[in-house]
Amino acid sequence: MNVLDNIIVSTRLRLARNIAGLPFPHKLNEMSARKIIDNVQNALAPVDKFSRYDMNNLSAIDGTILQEKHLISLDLLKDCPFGSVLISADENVSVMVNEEDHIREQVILSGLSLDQAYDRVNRIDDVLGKSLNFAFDGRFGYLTSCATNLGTGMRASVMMFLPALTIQKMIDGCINDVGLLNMTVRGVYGEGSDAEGYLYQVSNQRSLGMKETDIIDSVNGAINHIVDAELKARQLLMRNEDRLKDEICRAWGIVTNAYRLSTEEAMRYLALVRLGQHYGYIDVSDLNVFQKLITDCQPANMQKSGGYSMSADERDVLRARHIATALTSFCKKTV
Amino acid sequence: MKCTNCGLHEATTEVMVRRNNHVEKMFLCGECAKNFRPDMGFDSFDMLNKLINGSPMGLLSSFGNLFDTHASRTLICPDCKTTSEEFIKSGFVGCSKCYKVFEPLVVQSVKKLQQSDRHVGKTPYGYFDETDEDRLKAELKDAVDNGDYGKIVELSEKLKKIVNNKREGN
Repeated sequence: MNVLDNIIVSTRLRLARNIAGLPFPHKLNEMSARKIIDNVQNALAPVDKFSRYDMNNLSAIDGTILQEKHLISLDLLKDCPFGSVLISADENVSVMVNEEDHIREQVILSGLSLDQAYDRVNRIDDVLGKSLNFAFDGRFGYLTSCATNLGTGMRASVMMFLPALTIQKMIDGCINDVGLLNMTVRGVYGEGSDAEGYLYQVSNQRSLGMKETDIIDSVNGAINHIVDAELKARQLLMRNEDRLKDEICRAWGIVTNAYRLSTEEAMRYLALVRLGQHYGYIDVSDLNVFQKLITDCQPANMQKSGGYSMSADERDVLRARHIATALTSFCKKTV
Repeated sequence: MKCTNCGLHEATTEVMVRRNNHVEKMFLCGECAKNFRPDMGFDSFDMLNKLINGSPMGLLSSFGNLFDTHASRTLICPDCKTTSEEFIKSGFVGCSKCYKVFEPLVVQSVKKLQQSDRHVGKTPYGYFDETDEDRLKAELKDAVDNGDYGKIVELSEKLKKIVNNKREGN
């Protein structure tokens, strides 16, 4: 496990596509929308086995679970009655249909894997492109419902864990720096210094006038810059090592002993435990399992694992028990 | 067909123009289309200003310099009926055709947002642009340098089509 594993959580790469000759989703009638879903499902058949979830047949909790796993967007869940998603068995690929664009092909991989993610999504795009006629223009590239996605239709995002920059209120400066590199930084759960769990999504702004590989290079450049800044900020935190150790050990104490834990508390203390892994105060055998634990602790995922009829209080009790059991099975305090 | 505005050049862009209470179709040449401005009353301008800061990536702010209170025309897409006002307010178009209808607006905004108005990335399966011969040749050279045989075959086929089309005088 290297230093980057602690800072970089996952990579997401998506391509926006539309079918030529049809209105974009917000102007589409139900019959055409359903036909597109069927056509995309058929076109995907040679790629892998995909599970299909139509938004109009999905319960609120099941939909939120998909959203908490980042397999669908909140927009698809809330605002797209004729929307659907096709998800691969390994849950690394999701293809949203009739969201902002007819098709949003997306690959999510753990760690910093922009090249691998592009390679996979590009292969899926090639397969879809052979049976679906994509809307394309020689000048503007792939045509999308919003001009901000024109060109490649590509958004390359990296989820980063940036506690030291956030705690020391250096995150806004860092966001400005990478803004100059045409990158956007958003809190995964909340914005700016209020980002819960210190998790941020860094992604490209430009999708037109650059090749896909150049976009990936530019995102990689921005990621390197942020990683350097976070590592320096983590060194600064060490100036008061006793306090740092105390905060992390207290967090460990709470997540392994609390009787009840709200989502916000769980996010806050688990983030400190993850930071403890960086300093060697906590031994974590698998950071991917750690990240899955954070997803499992989100309200809808928790609700499903404990039974749909649970109250919020019961859910908090279950969350505390689940975290304590899981953490002690693959993590250990070493100080 | 000649441009219905200047009558000098060939028309390349079809636009719907709203004049008072009726809509009429116009066919514009590239130059007139470039200078074409949508109708935006004061109410719309106020709304635009309110939206500028909250728009995705400042998209709407890039339309500020297109604003012309003296113009009295609104572009309307003939296919999906999206208007230039809707596009300016939301940043969204309704269909592929909108990009032709609103091309002057789109070009100016994407130049600011994306620092470019020309796609250089991937093209869909089977697509080739006859005017893109040089780009294809450059891509073919890259593919040869990288030993990407699949790409070499694909690009060679595209170039062959262009050459054949030229021979046939298309």
